[in-house]
Amino acid sequence: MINNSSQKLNINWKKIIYRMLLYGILGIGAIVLIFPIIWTGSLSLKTYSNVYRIPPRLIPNPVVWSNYPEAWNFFPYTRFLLNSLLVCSLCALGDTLSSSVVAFGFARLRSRGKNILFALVLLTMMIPYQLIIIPQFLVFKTIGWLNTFKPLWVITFFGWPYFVFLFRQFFMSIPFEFDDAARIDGCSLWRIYWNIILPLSKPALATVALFSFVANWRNFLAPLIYLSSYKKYTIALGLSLLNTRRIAETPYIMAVAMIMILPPIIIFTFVARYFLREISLAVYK
Amino acid sequence: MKEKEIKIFKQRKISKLRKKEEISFYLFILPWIIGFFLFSGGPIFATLGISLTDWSLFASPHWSGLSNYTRLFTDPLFYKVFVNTLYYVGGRVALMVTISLLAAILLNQKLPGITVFRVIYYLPAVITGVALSTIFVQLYRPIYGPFAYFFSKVGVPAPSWLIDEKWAMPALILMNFWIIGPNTVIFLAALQGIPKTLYEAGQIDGANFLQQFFHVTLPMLSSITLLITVITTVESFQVFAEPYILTRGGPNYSTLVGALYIYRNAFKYFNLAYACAFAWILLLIVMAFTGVQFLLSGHWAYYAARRE
Amino acid sequence: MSSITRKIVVSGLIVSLVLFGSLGSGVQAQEKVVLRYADTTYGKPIMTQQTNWIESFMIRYPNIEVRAERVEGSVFNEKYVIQAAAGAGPDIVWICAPSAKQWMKAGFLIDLVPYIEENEALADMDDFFEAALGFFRYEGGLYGLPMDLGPEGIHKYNVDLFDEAGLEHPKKSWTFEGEFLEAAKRLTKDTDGDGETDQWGMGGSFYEFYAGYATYMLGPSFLFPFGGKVVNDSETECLLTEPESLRALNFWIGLIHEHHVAPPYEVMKAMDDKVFQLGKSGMAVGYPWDVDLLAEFPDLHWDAMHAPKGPAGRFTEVLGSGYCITQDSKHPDEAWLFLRDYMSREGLTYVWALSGSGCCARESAWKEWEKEVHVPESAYIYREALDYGTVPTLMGPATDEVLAVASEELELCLMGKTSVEEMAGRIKAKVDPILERAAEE
Repeated sequence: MINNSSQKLNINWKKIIYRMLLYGILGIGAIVLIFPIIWTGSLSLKTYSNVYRIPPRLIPNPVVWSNYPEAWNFFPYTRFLLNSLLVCSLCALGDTLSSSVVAFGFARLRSRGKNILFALVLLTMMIPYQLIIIPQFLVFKTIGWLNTFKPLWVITFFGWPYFVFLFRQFFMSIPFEFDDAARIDGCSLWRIYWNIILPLSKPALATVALFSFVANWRNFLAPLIYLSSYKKYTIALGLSLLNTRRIAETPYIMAVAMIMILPPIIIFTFVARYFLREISLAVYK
Repeated sequence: MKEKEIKIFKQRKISKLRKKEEISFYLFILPWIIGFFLFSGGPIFATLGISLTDWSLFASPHWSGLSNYTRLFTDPLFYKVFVNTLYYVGGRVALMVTISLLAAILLNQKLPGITVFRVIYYLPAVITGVALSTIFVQLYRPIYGPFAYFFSKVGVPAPSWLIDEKWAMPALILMNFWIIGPNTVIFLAALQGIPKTLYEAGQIDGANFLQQFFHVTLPMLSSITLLITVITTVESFQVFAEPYILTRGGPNYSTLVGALYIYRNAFKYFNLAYACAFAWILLLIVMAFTGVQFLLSGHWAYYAARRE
Repeated sequence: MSSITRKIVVSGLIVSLVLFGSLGSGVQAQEKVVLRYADTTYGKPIMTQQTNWIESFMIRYPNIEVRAERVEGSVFNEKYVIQAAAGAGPDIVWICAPSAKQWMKAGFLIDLVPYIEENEALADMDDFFEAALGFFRYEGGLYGLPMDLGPEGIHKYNVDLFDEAGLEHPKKSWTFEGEFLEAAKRLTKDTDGDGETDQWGMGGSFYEFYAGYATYMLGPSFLFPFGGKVVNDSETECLLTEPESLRALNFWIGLIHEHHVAPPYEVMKAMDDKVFQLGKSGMAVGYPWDVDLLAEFPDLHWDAMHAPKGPAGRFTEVLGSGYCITQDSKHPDEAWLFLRDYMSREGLTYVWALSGSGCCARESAWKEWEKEVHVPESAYIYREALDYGTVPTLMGPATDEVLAVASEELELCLMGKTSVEEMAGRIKAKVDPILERAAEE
């Protein structure tokens, strides 16, 4: 009896130390990861001269809240923000829909030439964007889509290699029994895709939607080239407008940056539950 | 005789079904096919053509054959860029794959509140690009920046980070620690897909934690690790915003990576043809890399559901 | 006239123009013509004035609508060269002097001489500085109307720091190697007693050129006073290894490494190149376009000084920019109307002088600026400096590439990793092929 309880005590100690170690490591990592955001906030509330101070202070003194409205008024940032929201939402929609459709073809159907085509998909993933932007620009000029948002989001409705890849991997891990069952029931391929595979793919859908939104949120080169009209600028382009030393001091740039990172973070908090909880690829429901 | 007829009949029926499946296949991937010709394939071949001219955006193009390529190979900067790119890609992939794997293992533990940690570990990844680079310019600021301060507190002389040619590239690579989120999540999902029975069997046999890691976890993760490595590699070749905003390719060309070199030649000097030539070489290198990675690990791949 | 009175007068001018315009003068077309006007970003005061002026223009010419696009300076050329090359350029585009030759040579711009000759009185060209017009002349034509013009390498000094050190204020007779260096030495101190210098004689804005390259030092303001040059006049050869150029470079780099009167490169970068603005240096090289921005640092009490003389004379670099009409414009006539109006005496005065920015391409507007409140007492020096101003030698199509290459080498030298002679040799070795290639095209 005494042996049992002392053994139990030993195990509990080990477990506690183990847990504390884990929390410790995770905690340090978490602080390091969050620090840049905190520092941005701190800088955004400083006076310009406090930026150049040793030792650097985390809490500004004085706290200059007015940096935010002043920086925001430099350019029509609200407009830029709304533009970005519009474009990125469309992109997220386009990417999830089109890439999953294409991936369904690659994951579920057999055909001659399928492997070659897939290799081609991978190939296009390897092409640096800076390379094709000029011929692409000429294409869009011929169609007459310059100075519209269309070049930014329409291409996402045609499949994006990286997402096709992701979706395909995910689909291939869904057992074929579902498809077979549906086929026996007489479902068409499209129904299988829409009513069975998609609902099972919530984690992948969430990941791709978030990824697409974020990637387009920060995209800078394409908006620069395609959007002439000032009122159509996206927020990433807007941030770059401040990045000239002739206009704004560091606190203003940080203030705009702070607001710029908020929408992706907010969307993330809504979407995170789909892929950060206990996700398993075993969705036998 | 009849058997043969039945066989042919069966083959015909199967090939009819196959044909139907084929048509469906092409219908499903139709969006990609159209997009390829219009927006990616077409432009790519156009750039191949451009690389064989001397087009500089200011004058009309003239055919110049392979002269851009020969110029590339005699340009010492080309080799510097090549080495830089390999350095960056190698460092970035090594960092991201190993750290996200480690993070995924840590985050896979059943601790209360682990979801909060998962959220925090993913969060910075949502900030990439222009915003992240702008923020890191501040973090890497010499003398007044937090990193410099941290080093001075520890008593180590702070490197000048972005203006020291030995430290600029490590600084850029280090930044990627903050964007391990997506990869970590993928590893996490894969980890949770490993059947617990394997671990239990190992424990019965008396294996300790490290042995379990090397003999159960890693092999089961091999296909996912390959996937992540390949994707991260391809991504790394295309990284542009960070070097552009943080160092502009300096100091002393130490951070001039491929994507930045293309951008510079095309958009700053307007040597479009030269940029295209370089980009094609880069593309071939990336393809070679990817091919090698697949070959090296071909027989480790393992898929949960596979149909012939 | 006090500033307020002047503002009332000019505003009255605008109001009367509006009234006059609305009484039916101007073009009477039916549909609205839309003009794309591409410009870079400036400080808030200037952009506000520009917007106001454009709105008044649109009231006076109700059938023309002007839509402004703004892109930050360092990516401006990229975006618009691509558009121009693809035949989708804006109607009116801002072009700065170093890029002007590229654009003119490529045939992207419209010759304005026919328009000017149509109505010379309206065009009012005499008021422009000839140097400013010179940027836009090419093969007998004039391809743009200049907007600003100013000495790039003119110096300024911190009045408070000079008084503190008991130094007399800089005079026109100063020489670089004489009084200038002396003053710089006297102004370099350790003000808080921690053993490290935190106030310098000379600092700020003399490393970075406009597009972020560390190549200010290759301009006429720095090399010409010593007889040095970065390239020869035909832009085919790099002359940095000549003894005069080396002497110049040794002087400037020596300020950091030999005399220690200028902050180390690392410190300068840490302060975002704002050493002077933060009150930590006695003098700085700058340009007049900074004037309205310096007003945002209320603790800074500064004034302009003439560029000191070097052994080869007194020089300063003169640069400017202007607006042009591209070939892609579908409404060149209306674009000309806008351009002429925008660059008129009233236009330039309103936008540039009243916003406090200065450096106008028109002499009349420049004089108006000098009366502004936050312009320092000796602002007339900027205008006088135009007398000894000179256009940089490096302005051809290869400029960007040459500057990028030279910038890397300069940075190394500024950090003390290479000697001046080494740096000059390396730059020459890399730049000569680039210039050769450019000359062939």
